[in-house]
Amino acid sequence: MTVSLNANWPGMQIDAEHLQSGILKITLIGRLDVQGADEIDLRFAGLAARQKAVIVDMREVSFLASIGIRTLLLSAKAIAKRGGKMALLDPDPTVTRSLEMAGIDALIPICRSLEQAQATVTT
Amino acid sequence: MSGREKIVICNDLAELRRMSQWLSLSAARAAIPERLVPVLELCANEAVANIINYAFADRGPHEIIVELARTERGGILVIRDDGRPFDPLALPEFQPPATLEEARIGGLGVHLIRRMASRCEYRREGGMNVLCLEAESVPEDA
Repeated sequence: MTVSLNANWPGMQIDAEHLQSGILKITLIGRLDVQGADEIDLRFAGLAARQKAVIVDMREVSFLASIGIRTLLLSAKAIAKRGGKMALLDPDPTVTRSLEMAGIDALIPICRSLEQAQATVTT
Repeated sequence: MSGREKIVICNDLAELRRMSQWLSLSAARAAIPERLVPVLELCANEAVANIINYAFADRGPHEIIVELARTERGGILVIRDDGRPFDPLALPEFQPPATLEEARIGGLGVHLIRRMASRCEYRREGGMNVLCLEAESVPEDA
């Protein structure tokens, strides 16, 4: 059986939206592996800079490697330093497992609804 | 271990996606339980990224050989490289940080491999690093 390895995954997408009460929601779509992290790192850090309440919508992230955890962690650390908070919105079971195994869920809360995430980053 | 699938990639991080795609297709062909595929994929990504980043003293091209086979209760990855002797499993245990301030950025990849794989084994053989990583269903998964 010949296997075609030509099918490429599309590039990582990143979008930002300002919600009420100063919350920034960053939506990530794609694979947060070495290539994906490389594609969004700068923009992600730039968006999170100077924010105090950030929700990262992880619903469409299909894979998360340690390099992607690093991306999340770096910004979460910077936000915490400013007295702010980051929360992760509803990652899928595989991504949740990576976060739990890395012990990140204890540092960056995982929320299952937008309402819960909004309450988490504003308290 | 039967029906071994194999891919040879070069020491370029851009090869990781080709490896992941190969892994998904090979795992399906080898009838490895679907729920274990993300575990094998994460282990392969972390192990091979470490090899590409740290194993080679020169800047020249190197081959990394990744094999996948079905086992009785799951799948096994065998990863070979001709880099400097390096046992990732000999690194000190990663301590999950208690606070964001304490959180270190490095060392997570090997930690994830250790936590995700049901068995990890390293040996130096014929001038090569050989890393075997196994994922299997635990009885309560069945």
